[in-house]
This record gives sequence, structure tokens and C-alpha cells, in this order.
Amino acid sequence: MDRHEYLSALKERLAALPAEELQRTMEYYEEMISDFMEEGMSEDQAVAMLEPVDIVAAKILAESPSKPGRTRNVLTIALIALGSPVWLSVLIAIAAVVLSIYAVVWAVILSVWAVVVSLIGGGLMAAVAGPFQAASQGAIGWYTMGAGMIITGAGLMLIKPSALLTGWTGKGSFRGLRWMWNKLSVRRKGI
Amino acid sequence: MDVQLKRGLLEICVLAALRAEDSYGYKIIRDLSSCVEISESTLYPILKRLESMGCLSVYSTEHNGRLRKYYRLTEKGEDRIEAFLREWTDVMKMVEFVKGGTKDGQA
Repeated sequence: MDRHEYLSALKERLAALPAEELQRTMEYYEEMISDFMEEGMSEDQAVAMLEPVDIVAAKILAESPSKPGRTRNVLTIALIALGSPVWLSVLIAIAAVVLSIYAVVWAVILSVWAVVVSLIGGGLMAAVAGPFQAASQGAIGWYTMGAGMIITGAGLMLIKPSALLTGWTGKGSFRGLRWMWNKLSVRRKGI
Repeated sequence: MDVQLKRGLLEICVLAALRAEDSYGYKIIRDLSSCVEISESTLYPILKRLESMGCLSVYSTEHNGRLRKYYRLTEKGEDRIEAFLREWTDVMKMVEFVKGGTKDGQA
């Protein structure tokens, strides 16, 4: 292979490089061949000293950061843009599920308090009504009052556990929300 | 040898080759050949990188009717060589330690 052949072949393979970089690379190799020849080698010997064109080109292209880097960014952005409708739907679906779970959990809490309130309210009513019932119907009125007091007591005793449960649920909900927010934020940073 | 390690060492060697005087591609390879064989396609990216880091500067001069690119060591390049020598003094101590241990037959 003579000098011209080698350099043309190399230039061809490096066509993807930016003009300035290509120019500098070619100058380097032209110079190298000239220097070999100055040392007394023939043109063919000088070219033979160089590594095969394919290998040289591959090494140079591997070094060049700008183009592949740019392509990667554009590709990533394009993919995200293309995928976003799907992404969005998935996100909305997940949000809906999360919301439902929260709704169910808090509905349970609400029912617990409903029980507490009914026990206390109903119990009090019975306790207050008891004496009046006793006045008209006799002993059963005292039973009513007693039962009412017991029920009120039960309701009152349930207040503390219910409050604790509510507290835990509240903390859990908050932590859950924060965890999900972090997960989403990390994804955004990753992009 | 580890590729990255060799790469780093070669960079320093190239800089050292420019210490005495400005040099050009082929001459650098020749000067280095006493310690390591490197191909021109290995040297090229090293020169590019050193230039981008500011460790050497490039200029062209006429030689035998053509232009030849010369590389000159910059102050930053000199600093880099000094830093390398400082770091590797510690490495050499460890190498000596390892060598000494083997001689005594200790595992």
C-alpha cells in the first residue's frame, strides 16, 4: 500500500469526524509517514510501520467524544418524548391506585371514630333517659341507665386506642407520600 | 498492566520526553522506545489529551519543505511531572517492601 492509498483509506473511515479534527488527524499521520521516510525508509516500508487503517480509525473514533455524546442525548430526549404519553398514563393509574388505598384506610379510621362517637352518644342518651324510664316503667329504667353508662364507658375507653391508631395512620400516610415523592424525584434527576 | 494505569504512565512519559527540548511525534516515539514501545496511534490521543489539559502547547515549523508540528512542555505540564514523581515515591516504597518480603521467604 502506498502513502496515498493509506491516507485516503484512513480519511474515508474518519469522515464522521468534525472537519477540524479530521484535518489534524490526517496531518499527524502524513507527518508520521514523512518522518519515517526521512529516517531512510521507503514509502511502502513507512506505511507498513503504521497499524492497519481499520484499527487506527477505530481507535480514533473511539476517542472522539462529541458526536456519540450528542447523539446519545438527542436519542434519550426523543425516547422520553415519545414515551411520555404512556408514562403519563401509567403514572396516573398508579396515582389512582394510591389514592384509593389512602381512601380505604382513612375510611376505616373514620368508621372507628364513628363507633366511638355512637357508643358515647348512645350510651349517654341511654344513661340520661334511664331515670326517666324508671319513673314510668320501673326497674327496667335503672337497667337502661346502667347499660347506658357501661356503653358510654366503653366508648370513652376506646378514645385513646382510636387516637393512637389515627396517629399511626397519619404518620404512615405522610411517610408513604414522602417516599413516593423521593422515588419520583430521583427518576427526574436521573433524566 | 492495567490499561488506565498504562495510559496515565505513558502521558507522563510523553511529557518527560519534552522536558529537555521541544519534540515532534516520531521523535517522541523514538525517545520513549528505550523504556516502552508505543505505536503512533497510541501516541496521538495522548498528545490530544495533554494538549486539551494544557500540559503542552503545539506549534508548526517548516522542515525540509513541509510543515512539522512541534510540542512544547508548559508549566502545567511540568507541575504534572512533579506531582507524578511525588506520588510514585510512595509507590516505590511499597514495591521495595514487597520485594524485601519475598526475599526473606515471608508470605
